[in-house]
Amino acid sequence: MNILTILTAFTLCWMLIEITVFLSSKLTTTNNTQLSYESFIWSLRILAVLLLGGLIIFMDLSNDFDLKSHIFVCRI
Amino acid sequence: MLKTNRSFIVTFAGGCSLVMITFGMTHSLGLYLIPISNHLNAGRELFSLAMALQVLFVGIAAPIFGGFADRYSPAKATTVGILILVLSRFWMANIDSPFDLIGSFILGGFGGAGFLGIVLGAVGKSVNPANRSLFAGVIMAAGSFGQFVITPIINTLIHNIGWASSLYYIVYISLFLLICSYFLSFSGKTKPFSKDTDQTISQALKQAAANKNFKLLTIGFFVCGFHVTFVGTHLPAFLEDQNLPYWLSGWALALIGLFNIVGTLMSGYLSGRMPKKNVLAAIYSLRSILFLFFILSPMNEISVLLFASILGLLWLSTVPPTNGIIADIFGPKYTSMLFGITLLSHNIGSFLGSWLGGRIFDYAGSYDYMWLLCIALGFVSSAFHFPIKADSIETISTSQKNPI
Repeated sequence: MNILTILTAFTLCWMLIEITVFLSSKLTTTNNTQLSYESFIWSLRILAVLLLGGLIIFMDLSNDFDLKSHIFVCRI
Repeated sequence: MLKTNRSFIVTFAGGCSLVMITFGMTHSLGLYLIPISNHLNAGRELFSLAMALQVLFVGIAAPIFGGFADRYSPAKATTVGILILVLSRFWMANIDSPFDLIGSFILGGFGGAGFLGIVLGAVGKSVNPANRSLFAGVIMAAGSFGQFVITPIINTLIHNIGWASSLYYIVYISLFLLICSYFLSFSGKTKPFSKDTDQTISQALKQAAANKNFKLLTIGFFVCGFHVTFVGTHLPAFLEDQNLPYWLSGWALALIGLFNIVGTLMSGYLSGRMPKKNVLAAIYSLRSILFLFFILSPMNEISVLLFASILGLLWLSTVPPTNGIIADIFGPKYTSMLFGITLLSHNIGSFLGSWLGGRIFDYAGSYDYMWLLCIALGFVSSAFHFPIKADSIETISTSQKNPI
């Protein structure tokens, strides 16, 4: 696997997320009961970094783990 | 007040755990494809058929369990579902014929049908409507996370103790779900954010059947199932046909999973800030645009991974706004049942997406027509969502029909 390619794709997609969430916070009005933009985006950033880190370690260490065989039919 | 908050936290934690574990267990069934097919000396088609039937029965049973939860209680409905799920996994561990395989999968589909809708309904009744979609997003993220965590555990179990024995462990895990189910019983103790009506299930069903917005939403959700199941099932094969590196399809699916967690949270957040129908219309349009770019752009590592990442954002992000619109229109009382009806439409789409993908590939020798169909359906679904009016309607109830 090429970690640089994965990180590039991740970063490009993340830019899209940042722009979308930022624009939504600027273009819409909220009330006091809703989660603020800062709280939400920082929670999302921390979660995404943790997930990416975990995924890289998992995919790198588990050579015998064939992820494709797990995604059989997407179900809710 | 503190008691109310604590009750909500217990309900929410129980609901998230329930969805996380059941999503993980259901999603890992694909791991049994090869061992069970070998055990029965059958081709893979039999297992595929059993899986497809399970998906259909999830859809068929979802409104039934949703109605049961709305009428009695979420805890009772999930308890019944868990017991059926335990029976199905026990049967699956002792299969000896194709009948056993198909029967156990149908039973499993029936038992595991209503969990998502029931949990969304139970939590949705206890939160401020302004935050309902955000909490739905968190529940969906928990489910997506469960697919990531539980699947490797079951994979390890199958490799270490065998497929049949691993199913007994699933039975034990399922019994643990009864505790989560008990936590859902606290939903009745939380402070409701909307006044309860005395509307009956049949009145709610009649009202939904006559509501144009609900019909549009249900038809639109069909496309969600069609898209995700086609891509989830056929993307690895499509990528292999493009002679791309072997590691790419695994990473593509991993990024879909990762961004699915982020996407459901984001969708829940956005649905609380802007009209939910616009969020849905944007998701379906973006999917179509993404598919179009994907098939027109040169296939390389970066284009595939970027496609997978953005698709992950749009993957199950339709659930929070769809569930939110139902609650906005009809109120939270029968949300579980009405969401179950939309889920039936979704799972018919799933069935067709999976089956048609293979059928069209066999007929045309490529997925080109299938991609075009996905693009067209995405735009059609988007167009269906724009006219939706998610305003609350006056519920028809017994007291209104028979005023005292």
